[in-house]
Amino acid sequence: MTASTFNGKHYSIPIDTHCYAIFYNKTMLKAAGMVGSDGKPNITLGNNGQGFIDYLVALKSKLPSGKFALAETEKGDDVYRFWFSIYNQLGGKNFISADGKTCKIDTEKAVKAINYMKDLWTKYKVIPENLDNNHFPDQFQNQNAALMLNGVWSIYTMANTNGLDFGVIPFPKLFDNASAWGDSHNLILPKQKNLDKGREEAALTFMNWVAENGAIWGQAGHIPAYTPARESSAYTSLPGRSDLVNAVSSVVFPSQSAQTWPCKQIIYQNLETVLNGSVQPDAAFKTIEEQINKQLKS
Amino acid sequence: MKKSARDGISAAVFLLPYGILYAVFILWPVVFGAYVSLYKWNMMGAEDFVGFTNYVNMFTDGSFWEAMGHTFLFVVITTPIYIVFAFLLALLCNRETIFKRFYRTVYFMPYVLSVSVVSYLAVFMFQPYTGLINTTLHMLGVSGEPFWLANPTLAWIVIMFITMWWTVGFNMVLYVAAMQDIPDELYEAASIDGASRARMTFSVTIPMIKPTTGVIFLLQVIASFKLFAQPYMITSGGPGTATRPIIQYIYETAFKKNNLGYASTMSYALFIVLLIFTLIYQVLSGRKARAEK
Repeated sequence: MTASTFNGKHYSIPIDTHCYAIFYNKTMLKAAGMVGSDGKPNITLGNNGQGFIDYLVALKSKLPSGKFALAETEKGDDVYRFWFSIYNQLGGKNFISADGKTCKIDTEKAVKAINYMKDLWTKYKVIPENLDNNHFPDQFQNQNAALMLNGVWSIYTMANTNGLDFGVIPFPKLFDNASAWGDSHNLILPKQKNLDKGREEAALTFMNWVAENGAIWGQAGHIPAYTPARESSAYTSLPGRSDLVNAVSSVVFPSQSAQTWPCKQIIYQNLETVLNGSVQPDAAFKTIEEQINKQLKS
Repeated sequence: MKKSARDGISAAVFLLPYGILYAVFILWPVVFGAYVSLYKWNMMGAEDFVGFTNYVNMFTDGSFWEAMGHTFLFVVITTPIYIVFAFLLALLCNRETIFKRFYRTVYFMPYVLSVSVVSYLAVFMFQPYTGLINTTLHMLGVSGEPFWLANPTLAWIVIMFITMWWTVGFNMVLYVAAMQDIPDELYEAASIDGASRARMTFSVTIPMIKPTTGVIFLLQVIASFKLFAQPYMITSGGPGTATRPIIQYIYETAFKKNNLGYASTMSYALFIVLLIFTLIYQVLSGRKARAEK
């Protein structure tokens, strides 16, 4: 609710949180012996992210040929979501200043985050290069990939895939904070020139109903915002959801600015050039800062 | 009423439906766009009058020049290639073989597909690991994994190739029609003079279809400047912005960055470029026509 409040006023009704998570293929991980006693991937947390790297490298060595450890793309929004999660885990915060006018990126942490990501492709080779940004989830669905980094919205597709025995865990705490990229769908009422009180009340009743019945919306994969809906058995009994109920506490929402989407695009377009090796991270973040500042002024 | 006046009125009546749609959806936006370009304008409407600030900013916008450069690159490289291929295919489709109808159909067919279908075909064919091209290469023993859609140079090749496959049929058909208009006597006279097939092609066919070549050239350049949907759907203009044409940059500025004023400004820049090109073309072809008289 805090995220939808600005200057002390409520601007919208949140109906869900959708955040970044790790999907895991239970069959493949069990066969490779990479699950803990709780059936989940036994990733050693912390240790400056090294635990995750070690897990992925070990997993890669134990998988049959033709299969790979982690599915993720080097293009588009997911690059941003992955980077943003790590950046926040390292302690970087939102990159738009509180007054919405300047870009404030902690370059050292930003560079560390993108280098951490890049090594997964180039150094440890646990992710195949250049997976398509729209089709990389297919690799998890086809059981070529043992793990996938994606938003919780993929749960519905995966749950309806025949023969796929999977689970979902919130993005793990690899560094100092347990942060994960997240966003929220909200219902709003646009300002009307001539307000019809009756219709407004009807709209609000509907919005309230949607929030209360979040468990239905939750079938699509999103985590209901309304606490009783989130904790209801209707929601938690859905496959994999019980692990996600607490994910919402570590979600980092975007800054309250009308410019987050253009800025997000600036970031991932530049990060793509870092991942494909054509631009160095420091130079890329300098460009990002220039372009975001220009965008915030426009 | 005089007959010519009646004819004039019935002509106007027939032209009116199209005329209205043309005025509302084509002429009016052109005029209104100029107005919008003088403002800071977002999705909610006009904000501030900024005069020529947008135009001034455009000259120092690196992304604008980069995107224009990409579009220019596409125009300069593909125009001669597409015209030459259209001509060669037309020669093939004009020869008296039993496959003549088959060739004409097959080479024209891609043109009826929508750009979305063509773009997705390109993605599925050139995808790494599972795409048709790479699996074929692997079957033939090639061991590497070319990243057709992620390497900027290869991505441009894919875009140019799939656009050619998609559109060459149209120009080819124009050429076939022009070739059929060439009187047979010219070929007979040439063969009596001892000309070989190749000589005839160069000295009879090509000169006789010059007007068509002129039209195709003009249409092709203008169409190539409007490049947008294919790179947008095949590579999203990426990686980064390596394959982003100017129209995609205009689209992103308007609808992703919520800056319709500046987007209109850049649209006008593109319009001026095409206008200048068309005027130069008209002057040159007018001069040539006068010289030939």
